[in-house]
Amino acid sequence: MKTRGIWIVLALVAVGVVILLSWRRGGPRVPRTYRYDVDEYLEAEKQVPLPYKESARWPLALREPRAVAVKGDGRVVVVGDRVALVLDDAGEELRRIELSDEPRCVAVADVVYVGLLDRIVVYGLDGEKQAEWESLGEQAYLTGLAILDGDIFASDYGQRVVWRFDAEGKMRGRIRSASKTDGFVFPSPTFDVAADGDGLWVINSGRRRVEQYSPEGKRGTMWGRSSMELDGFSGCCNPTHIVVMPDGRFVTTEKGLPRVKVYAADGTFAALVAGSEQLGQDAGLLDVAVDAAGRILVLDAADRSVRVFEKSVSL
Amino acid sequence: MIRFPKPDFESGYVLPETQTVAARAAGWECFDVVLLALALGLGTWLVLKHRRRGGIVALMLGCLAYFGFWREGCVCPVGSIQNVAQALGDSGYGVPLVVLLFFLLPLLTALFFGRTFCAGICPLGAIQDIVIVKPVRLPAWLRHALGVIPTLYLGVALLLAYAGAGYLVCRYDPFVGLFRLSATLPMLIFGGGLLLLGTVVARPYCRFLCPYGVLLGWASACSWKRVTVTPNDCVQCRLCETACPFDAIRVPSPERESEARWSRVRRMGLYLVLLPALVLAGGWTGARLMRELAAVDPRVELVAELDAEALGVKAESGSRSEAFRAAGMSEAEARAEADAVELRLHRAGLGFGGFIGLAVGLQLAGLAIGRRRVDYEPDRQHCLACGRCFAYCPREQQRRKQGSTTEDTEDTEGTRRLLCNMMRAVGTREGRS
Amino acid sequence: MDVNEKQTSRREVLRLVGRVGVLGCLASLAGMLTGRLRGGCIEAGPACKGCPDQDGCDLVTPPTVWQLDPAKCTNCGQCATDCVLAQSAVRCFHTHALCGHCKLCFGYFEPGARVLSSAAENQLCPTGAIQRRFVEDPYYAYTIEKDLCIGCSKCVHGCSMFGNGSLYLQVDHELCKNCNECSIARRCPANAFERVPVSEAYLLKGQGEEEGN
Repeated sequence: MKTRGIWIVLALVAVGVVILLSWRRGGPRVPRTYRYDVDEYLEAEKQVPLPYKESARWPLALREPRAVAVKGDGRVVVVGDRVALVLDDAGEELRRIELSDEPRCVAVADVVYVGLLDRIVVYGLDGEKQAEWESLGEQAYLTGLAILDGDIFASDYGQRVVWRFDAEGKMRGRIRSASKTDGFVFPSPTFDVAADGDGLWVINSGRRRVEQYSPEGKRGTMWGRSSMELDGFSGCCNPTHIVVMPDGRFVTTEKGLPRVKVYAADGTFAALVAGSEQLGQDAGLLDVAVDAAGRILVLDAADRSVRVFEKSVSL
Repeated sequence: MIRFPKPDFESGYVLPETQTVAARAAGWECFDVVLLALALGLGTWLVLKHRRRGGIVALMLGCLAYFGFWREGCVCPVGSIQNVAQALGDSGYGVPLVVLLFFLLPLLTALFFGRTFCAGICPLGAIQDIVIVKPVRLPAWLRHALGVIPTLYLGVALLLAYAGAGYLVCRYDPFVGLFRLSATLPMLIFGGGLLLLGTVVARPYCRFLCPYGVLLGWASACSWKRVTVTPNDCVQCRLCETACPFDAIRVPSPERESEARWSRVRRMGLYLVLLPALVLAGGWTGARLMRELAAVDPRVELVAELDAEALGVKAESGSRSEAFRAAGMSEAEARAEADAVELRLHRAGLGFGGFIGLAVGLQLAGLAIGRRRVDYEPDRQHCLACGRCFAYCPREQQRRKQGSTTEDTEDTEGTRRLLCNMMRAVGTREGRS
Repeated sequence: MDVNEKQTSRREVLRLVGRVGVLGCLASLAGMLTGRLRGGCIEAGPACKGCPDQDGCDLVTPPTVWQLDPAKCTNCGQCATDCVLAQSAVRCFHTHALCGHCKLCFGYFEPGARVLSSAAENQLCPTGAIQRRFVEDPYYAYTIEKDLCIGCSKCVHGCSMFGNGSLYLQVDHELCKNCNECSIARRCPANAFERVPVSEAYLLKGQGEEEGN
């Protein structure tokens, strides 16, 4: 009697454990009202045509790529992890330049301008360090570089100004907030600058717009509106980066709902290049460059690659 | 240094600090340990020297109030076994001194003085003790049989903690929700059910589930001092026999043995021969069981989700795989980690199953050993030292009348008279039934 | 009587052996667990994080409490429902020094909100636990009513997706019972929970070198 009981209990315990293990939880457990819901905007992205197709993807041997720029002859420079990589127009690595500090942004003409946190360092394309400019102070936080008529413009998120330097690194001026109530607002380090024949295009991401400035700092036209729809800039601080295409149109990138978009020269929405589905929900800040052939190079930091988008349909 | 430039406030707006409320200070934890030690000391004195149920009940209620309702459960000695097991398995995890002391103190007390902790300090025991209304005696076979469960539970819980797969005992703690006055429904049903059952089957969690009780039982089995029913010698009056709600009082062995000696020897021999087979079967089952149990480990769960996705099952939002992808870890790494966990559990399960096989075999063989017992005495292993039996003993009654100073007196006329009366009373009760 | 006495003394001896055995086991266990922490640290684990004397860690691990590593949290929303308490011990914290003080706050407004008013239908928070206050053009301040917050992470999701992530989830020790096994930690898909020494009881954002996106 005594021993039989032990066997019975052992058997029951075994059965109990099996039942317990086969009973798995199922179904979503987070109530719907707690979900942050952007599905309708993701869905809207899928409804529009994508005139650009990804034609190549260049994987980068970088842990944390930060910025990308293209030289007129097609050579590409990518910075991150305290190095600058010079790639050819097919993404093959030509040269690896060691940097003294973490790079934040890059521009390239005949030489490579690398923006560190608080200063600009100049390298030749052969890898030779040519100059290191003066620090812009403890508050400096460089986020974008552009070249216009031989002058270098650097957007400084930390101090909310765009610095203007000549090719030798001499400061020639600064572009400041137009006014307190209608000036720069940057809740996030999303402050980029681009240049074309008409002057400078500066992102004012806190107001979801792009503003034109003369090299002397006079504000001109503006475009962009705040909206979750495709033609506007979503979120609190978009766009994140901007570049001007050879034909005068703009390419912008956004975070939150990761988007790469093309805007016409007058600021009207032209096309979606890539959305959340192509870039992934956690794409982060996407830097962008455009080469002479009109190819859009998107630096996908999450994927650690440069993604090349080419027009497949005429707009 | 924060690299976020503050907005260019001009109105003199000052950024508020993030408001935080301090955690329960480390000093309190030390206070808890001191209190535990004091309570164990006091409990031991009450059980071994003072010998009054009233004192034990008072201590029990005090500890229930402090360790249970005020301190709200965690960490308790029952759960601490898992912290110790995890620290043994994971060199990155250190047991806080407080937890280690919570683990050691009751065990040391049990090793020298019996299970005082169960009697008066453990809030889980206390809450069950106060709901005992009409305890029934369980047949010996059922007790022995159910008595296997805590050992199994202990083994599984230690293994899972060792492998870092979680704390099973804490997860299925039936009463902590009660102490906090906030519990999930399954927890409430489990705890409430146990308390309901506890009105007739005294302290069901302590006797048939508690994994720490197994360790305390082992320590108590070889204790130095122990609880006795009588303050001096047993007069075989049988009055205490029904006093224990936990069926922990052992009666003297019958004059004539029910089973011939050679039959018992043969039975024992058979079990000893069977022992290796039991160990092997236990090991095999244990290893298989652990493979299944590994599913509760988060790392194994993640890989299972990844596998399901590879087969085209879409993960729901909030799943491990979604978070895994967001974190950008490598899949090969995750798989290697999960494999390592599974292998470790598999191996540990083999050993654990073998051990259970051994324990069951030895228990079976042990049942064949005839122990000669001449007095009524509490089972060393299973006595919870609650002190209910004291008042039933005529020698104790006598001691109390005389005062505790003259403990070891010879039989006096008074005792003899008292005894006679009691024997007569028992006799009539027996005769009626 | 002779037999009995022999049996008794034999059992006494067995018991003594057992006692010494158990005592030895416990002593070696305690020695292993404390000795490992003596002379240099244990292999630096999560429990060591923030420990002031990591190098000369010479006695034992300090008491620990539960915290959520904001860097690992994926805002899945399960903290609201997985805590053993009716009101989750995890709630939204706000590091004001990281806040952009946006007029259009994505932790406060529904993504599609057209009018930036505090009307309930524009508010993201299911319990209305976020207070929005005008500071000066164009800045607004946001504070969390902790009694109302249920830790659902909806605002955290919006803020970290579009903004700086100045809103984030954390274990509030005023509510947390410091369970030996945290039931949220067990189910957290990102394995973001860890034990931290009680002397460094909060992992708050804005104390390290982190940068937003």
